[in-house]
Amino acid sequence: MSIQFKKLFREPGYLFMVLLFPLMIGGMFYLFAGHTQIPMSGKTIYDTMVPGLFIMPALAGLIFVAVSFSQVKSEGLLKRIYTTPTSSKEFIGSVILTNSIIAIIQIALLTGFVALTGFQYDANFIGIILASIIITIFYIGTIAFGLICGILGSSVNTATGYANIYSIPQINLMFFTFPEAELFRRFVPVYYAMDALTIIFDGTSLANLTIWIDFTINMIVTMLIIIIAVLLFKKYGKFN
Amino acid sequence: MLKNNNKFKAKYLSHQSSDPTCSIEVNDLKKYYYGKKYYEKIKALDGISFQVKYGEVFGLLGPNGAGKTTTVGVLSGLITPTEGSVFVGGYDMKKNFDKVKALIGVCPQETRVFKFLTGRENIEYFGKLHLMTKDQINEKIETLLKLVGLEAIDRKAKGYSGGMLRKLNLLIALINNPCILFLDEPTVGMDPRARRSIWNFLFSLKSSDKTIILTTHYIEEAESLCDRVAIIDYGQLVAIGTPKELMKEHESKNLEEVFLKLTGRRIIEGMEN
Ligand SMILES: Nc1ncnc2c1ncn2[C@@H]1O[C@H](COP(=O)(O)OP(=O)(O)O)[C@@H](O)[C@H]1O
Ligand SMILES: [Mg+2]
Repeated sequence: MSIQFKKLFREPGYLFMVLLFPLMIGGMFYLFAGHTQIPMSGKTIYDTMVPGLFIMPALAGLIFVAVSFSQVKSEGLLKRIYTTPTSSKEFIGSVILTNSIIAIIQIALLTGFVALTGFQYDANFIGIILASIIITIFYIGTIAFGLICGILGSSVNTATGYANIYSIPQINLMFFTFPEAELFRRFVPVYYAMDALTIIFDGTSLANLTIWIDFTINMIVTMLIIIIAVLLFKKYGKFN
Repeated sequence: MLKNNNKFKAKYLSHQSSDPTCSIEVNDLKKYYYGKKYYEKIKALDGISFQVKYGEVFGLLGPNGAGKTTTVGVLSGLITPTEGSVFVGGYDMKKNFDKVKALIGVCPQETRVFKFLTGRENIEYFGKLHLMTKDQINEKIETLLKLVGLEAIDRKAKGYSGGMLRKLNLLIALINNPCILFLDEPTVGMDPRARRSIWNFLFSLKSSDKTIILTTHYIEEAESLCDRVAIIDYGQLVAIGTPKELMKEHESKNLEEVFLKLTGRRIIEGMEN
């Protein structure tokens, strides 16, 4: 069993929190917006917020990866790992694998939750597959960013700080509607994932150009983050 | 010639260095650190050279800040030297560190263990990183525990006392049965009884085929354990030889006195850290 799993199971309270975090946000959304109808659409405001819910596991993973990596680094354990024939890539692999499994569980729970709360959507089966692919790509980019935070942060606190600088503005821009938000939204990566999801759930034809522009930008951003993460890891990630 | 009975390990030893009987060869090693201002240059190591033969127990003594940890860091691949060449197990560290990794065990000065794992899980994890099988790991753990008792082995390291953490720190370094062992202040901060047991354990390793590089503040114990010692100060080697040779050369009745004469300091002064 991966040591990251062991860590989670050693702290059941924490594991519980991690698994239920997106559900808690979902519950909040439902409570506040589940009964507010949008005129003439038959949908509620909650329905429009659901795509954002599915982004939550990625943002939680960002923090998890940043913390796991920076903790092991600041305790000198990466150095210790470095003097063995196995490289620290193995350790990072275990962090990423653990987090991916957590994310899958979170998404399964979320899917159950939105079904129970009567989420209304108009996407067909292929649309949902495409939405899953978009979430997965966004997820990969976000946890790669978590790794960057872990590599660059000199302590757990600074790494968490970097992760927050990345995630908090994105969350705020996506969920709070104020006039300026419209303008700034397009500069944060999460916009493209969520925009595509929203269009797909609206039942728009998958031939819609905006979906594919969003898809491409999401893909490019993810690839850029991965490239930067790999370069930084080669330069600084071994143990320093 | 090769005082190494372990065929498996011997297969991996190389002869890139000039002297094949040496497990460690350090030539004019320099490590400079630069301070905040460009002209601040800290000479952690200022051109040291020495050799250690296979099977030798070699002590690195010196006041705090002398450069002991830096030396061990370079020898175990964690610090890139500014200048100089270093061979470990006959391999050039610049070119073949990957090969060296299979040969060495490193016990760092700070305890580096996973706090959320038990002692046993920590050792197992590092055994896996050394590409050992489960059976090999379990067998080795049993042998090690017979030599160095750690009753709390199945408890989480989070609750360990300082002495228990240091024992675990040492056990992890031994899991892969390394033929070259680096021990950076292995007993610092332990109570005298625990220290005694570790030194006895190190004595028992002495008869095996291991090369041991050891830094310590406990000169008396180094005197009885080490085949040879080097005294370093301000990043330079000020003396090297067997404890007897050094005592004779400096007309001293023990190594502590030699140390005092050469560095002008008692080693204890350097113990704050
Ligand atoms: N990363 C570093 N940056 C700057 N100076 C360092 C660094 N590491 C060690 N030094 C300095 O190098 C010198 C030697 O340190 P060290 O090898 O740790 O000494 P010892 O282990 O003998 O106490 C000290 O003066 C220390 O302050
Ligand atoms: Mg030191």
